[in-house]
Amino acid sequence: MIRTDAGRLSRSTAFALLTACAVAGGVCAQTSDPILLYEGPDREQRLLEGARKEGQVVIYSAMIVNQALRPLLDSFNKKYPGVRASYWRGDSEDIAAKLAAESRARNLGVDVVEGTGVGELVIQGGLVQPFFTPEIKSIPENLRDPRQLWVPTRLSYFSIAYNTRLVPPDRVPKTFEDLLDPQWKGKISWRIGSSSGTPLFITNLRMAWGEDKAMAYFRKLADQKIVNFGSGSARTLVDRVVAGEYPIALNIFAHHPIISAAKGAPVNSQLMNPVATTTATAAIPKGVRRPHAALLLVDFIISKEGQELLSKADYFPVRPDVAPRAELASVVPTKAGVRENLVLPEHLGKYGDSSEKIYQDLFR
Amino acid sequence: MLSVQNLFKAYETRSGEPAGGAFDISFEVARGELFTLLGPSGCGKTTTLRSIAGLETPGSGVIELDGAPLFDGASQVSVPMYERDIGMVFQSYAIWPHMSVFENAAYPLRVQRRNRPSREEIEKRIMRVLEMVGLAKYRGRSATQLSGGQQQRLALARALAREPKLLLLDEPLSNLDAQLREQMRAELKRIQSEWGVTTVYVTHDQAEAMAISDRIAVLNQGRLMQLGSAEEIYERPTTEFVAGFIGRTNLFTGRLAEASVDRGYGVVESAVGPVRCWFHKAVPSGAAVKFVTRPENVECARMSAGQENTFEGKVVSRVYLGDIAEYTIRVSEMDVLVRAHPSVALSPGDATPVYFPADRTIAICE
Amino acid sequence: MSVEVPRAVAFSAPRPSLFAGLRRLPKGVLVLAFILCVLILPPAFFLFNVSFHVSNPDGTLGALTLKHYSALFTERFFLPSLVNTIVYSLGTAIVALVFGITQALIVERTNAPGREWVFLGAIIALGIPNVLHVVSWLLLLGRAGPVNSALAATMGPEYMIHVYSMWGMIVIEGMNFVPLVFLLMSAVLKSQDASFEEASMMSGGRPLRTFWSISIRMGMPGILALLLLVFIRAFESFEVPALVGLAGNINVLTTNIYQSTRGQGFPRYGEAGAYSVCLLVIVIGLIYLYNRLSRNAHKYQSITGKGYRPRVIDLGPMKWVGTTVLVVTFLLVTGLPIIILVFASLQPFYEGVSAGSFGRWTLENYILLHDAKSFHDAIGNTLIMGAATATAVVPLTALCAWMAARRSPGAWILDQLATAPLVFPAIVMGIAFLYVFVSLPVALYGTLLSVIIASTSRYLPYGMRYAYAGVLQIHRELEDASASSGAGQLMTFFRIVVPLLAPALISGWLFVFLLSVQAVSLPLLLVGPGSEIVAVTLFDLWQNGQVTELAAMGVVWIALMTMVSSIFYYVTRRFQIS
Repeated sequence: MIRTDAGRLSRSTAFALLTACAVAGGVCAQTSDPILLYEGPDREQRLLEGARKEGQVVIYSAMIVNQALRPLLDSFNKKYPGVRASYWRGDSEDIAAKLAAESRARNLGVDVVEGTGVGELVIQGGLVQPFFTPEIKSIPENLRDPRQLWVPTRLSYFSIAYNTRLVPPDRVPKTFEDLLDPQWKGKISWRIGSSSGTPLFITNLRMAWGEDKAMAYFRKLADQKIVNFGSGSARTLVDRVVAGEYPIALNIFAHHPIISAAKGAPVNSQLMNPVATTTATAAIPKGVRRPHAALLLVDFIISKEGQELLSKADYFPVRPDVAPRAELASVVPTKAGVRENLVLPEHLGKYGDSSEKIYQDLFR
Repeated sequence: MLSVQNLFKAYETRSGEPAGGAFDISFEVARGELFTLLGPSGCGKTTTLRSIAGLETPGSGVIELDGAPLFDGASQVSVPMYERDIGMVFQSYAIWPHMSVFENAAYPLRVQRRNRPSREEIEKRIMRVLEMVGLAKYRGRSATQLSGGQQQRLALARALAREPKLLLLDEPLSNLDAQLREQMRAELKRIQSEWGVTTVYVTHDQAEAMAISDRIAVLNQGRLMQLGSAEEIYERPTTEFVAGFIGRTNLFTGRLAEASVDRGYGVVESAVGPVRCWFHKAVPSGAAVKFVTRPENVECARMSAGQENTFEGKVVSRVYLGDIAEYTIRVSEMDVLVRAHPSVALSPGDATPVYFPADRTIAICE
Repeated sequence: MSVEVPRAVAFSAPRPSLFAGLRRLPKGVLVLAFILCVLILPPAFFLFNVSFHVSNPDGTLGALTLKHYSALFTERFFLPSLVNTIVYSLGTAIVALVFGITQALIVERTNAPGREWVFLGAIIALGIPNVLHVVSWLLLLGRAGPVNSALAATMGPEYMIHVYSMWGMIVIEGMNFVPLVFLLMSAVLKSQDASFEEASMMSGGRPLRTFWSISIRMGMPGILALLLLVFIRAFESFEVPALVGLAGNINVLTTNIYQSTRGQGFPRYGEAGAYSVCLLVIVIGLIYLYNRLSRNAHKYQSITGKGYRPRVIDLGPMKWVGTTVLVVTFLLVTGLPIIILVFASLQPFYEGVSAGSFGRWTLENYILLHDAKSFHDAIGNTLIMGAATATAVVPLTALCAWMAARRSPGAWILDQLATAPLVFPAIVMGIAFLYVFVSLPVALYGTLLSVIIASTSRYLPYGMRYAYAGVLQIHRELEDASASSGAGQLMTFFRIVVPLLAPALISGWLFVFLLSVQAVSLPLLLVGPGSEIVAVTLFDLWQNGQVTELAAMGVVWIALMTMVSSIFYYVTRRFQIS
């Protein structure tokens, strides 16, 4: 914090200093709290004390509210009665934008950000700081971030969704090449404006097939005149498929159609080789106001208890000791006999811009 | 009490053309006098009044009240209107609809900044002034429930509430019907003289002006034409405009045979013949002269042979009005309007002599 | 004694120099102008500034550049967006005018029974936030909705309508504007002078001919002006393009702006700024056109003001047709949306209207709302924001309007400043304020106060309109009388002007309150945790697919707002304010 020896510094100088800080990108007011990287034996104790003093924790998450976010936070509140957890649900891009705005405005209201695609955005913007959680030991190595800027919270597998009434079982496309069939021209839709939409689809194939084969494929795919859906989340797009607006939707969360189908909706997923797999990530912003409570919440999300709640909400847990719901097993690539292609935040970060450009050039 | 010197205020339309105003107006009003500015619309009387009130800012001139300047163009003094010790009655009365009768009248005392009177004193003074205008028993009534005449009286009461040095009235009777107007006219005069307040009154109605004023200033097109008592203005108009504006008159033109003297008589050769007129100013011989004589001064049907100012005429028309008989008599190609007692019974076509009494036949020396 | 009056001499008065110079301006004007400038200039300045600089990822500004503008004009999507915007706005205007004018004609010029109730209907419509309106129409016309179910059942699935399309946008937005068109057209019809028509009929013109040649022709400038007004409002509208257009991949200028703040990566302020400036320039041009048109329209209105009201056409037995039209319009604009919302609020998940769905009705959405603290917070925040905005706008504009109407020196600039926010489309103003708040060293971003400030700035023109009209009705002499009774300017204002202005001020307050609590695009980018407001929450709920919760929240909110707008209606009726 700025030392203000009131007798010496004039008000205008202090103001100028503050402004300079703001311009310089805000290092001044954002010091990192040592508790974030603390690994001592009394960590839990310290977290509890600190969090109670802080009193509340705010999370911006892209999880579905009714099935996942609310039950998760309700459990958290029950477990830690002195720390009130509240949420704001938005798409990953909105979350990143809000964090960016709050950081720059020096009015940080959020303590934890979570979502698929949030991680790379906020890392690129330099908005988050490293932290340690003991639960990371239970997470597979390939899902950890060496820089300690994020932890995985839930796995996502992406596939196509199709309306079973409009696409009879014998005509369901089973490979990416099948999508090039002229009978699907104008009947396919995908999500734009989200890093887990078109960029993920494109990055997945570029990583798996190499640039040349992927570009050739994309050029052919562009002739299919895919419908660009820009208003709403992945869940909303699946709802549209259910409603019959679009017979096929690309790159949606593979478990959404399964869940809807269980309720009687005419929709199904179809995995295609290779299945794009991402992990939603949680991160803690630089200059977080309530570090203890933030850590408590992150610990909870990737703890066995938290992961079990998420599993019940039809998400795929990142801990091997927690199983996804049996009905969704058909979607897990390894169990379905399909190869999975793990697209981590840094991959999305590396390929993101160029994939977006391919979309802009060919598909928009 | 009030002194206006060389008041000048010009208006322009949006395109820059002149649109009336007041040009070089000067007059003095003595303490307790009822002074009237009289003239047709656009003559500058309202401009002058509003300048005195402070609602307009003149271009130049001096306005002084009781020795203290209200406005001085040269030294750039301009007292704001709410600091002038003046009460004003507006043409529309401007009674505030959201206040009662009492509150309307008491407003000037309530907003007074220096030496604000106490509540008891306000009560006493306002009731007194309301009594004087005859509205005391309506004190609690909402102002919207008053008739036109009552509103006017309330406006007067409000203007007098703080006993100002000067009272200004802007055509206060023009919104009333004829009968009420005469009644209120008398009321106004009574209140003004009882109260003894110096008053400037603006009107376009010359009968009104003559009835109540101590002195009248006749204005036309922004300039002061003549200033004097009602009698002076009526009997001895100094300009053609004044003569024509006040009452009705017969206008003749002619040429002066011999030079006239100040305050003396002279003979003017005119279309009707040589007429002896009263000159209040000397005019050189041979000059073109206009003269006027009021219809009620012209006599007819009287045999005064050989008298000067008597000419042969022929009756053109007769209008019987009950209290007078109006004749139009042609004298040598000029039509002369004559008002006679109804007993004078001439018929169209009759020949009659027409006589202009010299002391009532006024030459106009502008 | 007569007084000698010297002949008037040609006089040239010295030029009045008493009030020249800024420092001689009345203090009041300066203070008010300062306040207005603080509210209006920073967002405008920032917007222009940011569009001409490179925007770095951390939000600071880089070098001066024209590339945002050049990119705008060279990219392939600007022109289609512009065309879409024009088509959409024109279609909306036509739809709104057809329905609104028909309504107005029936109400004002015929004897259809029940027509007095239409005003009340229009007022209720005012209480429904735009976003709820759109959502309810999407529920009605969407794939799962009752209309499509009926069509599929009777004519087959090929005949189902696809609402996420241009025509869907046009119909929904058109319906939105029908109450506005109705109210404005009524005012025009009410002020037509009967003598023009009577002269026609006395000259032998039959009623229909009179109607066509005289009434419509004379009303044409007013109608054209109204068309242009709705066009402008649709041009800068946001909710329908965002909720309907984007899902159908139809882009208009306002959604382009919105997308550029949230797309891939971080807010592309530079791009958003350039789009905004373009939109702003276009809107300014349109508004200028509108002012010219409506000035001409006034020429045709009753000049003396003493005309009698135009005659009412007796429809005979056809009058029930008129009533039917009115009822149908009401249903379309207000009734059906409310019904479908109530429906949806009672369902566990939205499944349209079917026989089976009745059995699954439940109150759990309302219970959820009742327990949700965030809901209570949102309602509380919204009411506070609305009240604060109205309370800030009304006194400020009352003073400005009074000074401007009374021609205080320099006060015309107050009029200009207070009306300036009209040219900013709401989304543009939202972005501009976002950028301002984020850049300030003071922690304003995300607070309710920031929304209040932006809201105040936006609704200044509306407060000004009510205040100005109210001041004009107060006879100047009422104030002169106060001054000549010794009261200073401020005392005159508070004791005379304000009490007489009260009905207009109350109406203005209620109107600004109603408008500000419904706004979505302005606060959308400005709210954060702790400053949630209802309209934005409804928007979010729709985007997140939480339809039934949205419906329940919507129903409760409509009930609340209808109470407020009923008070508004009562006040305007009682005090005869237009």
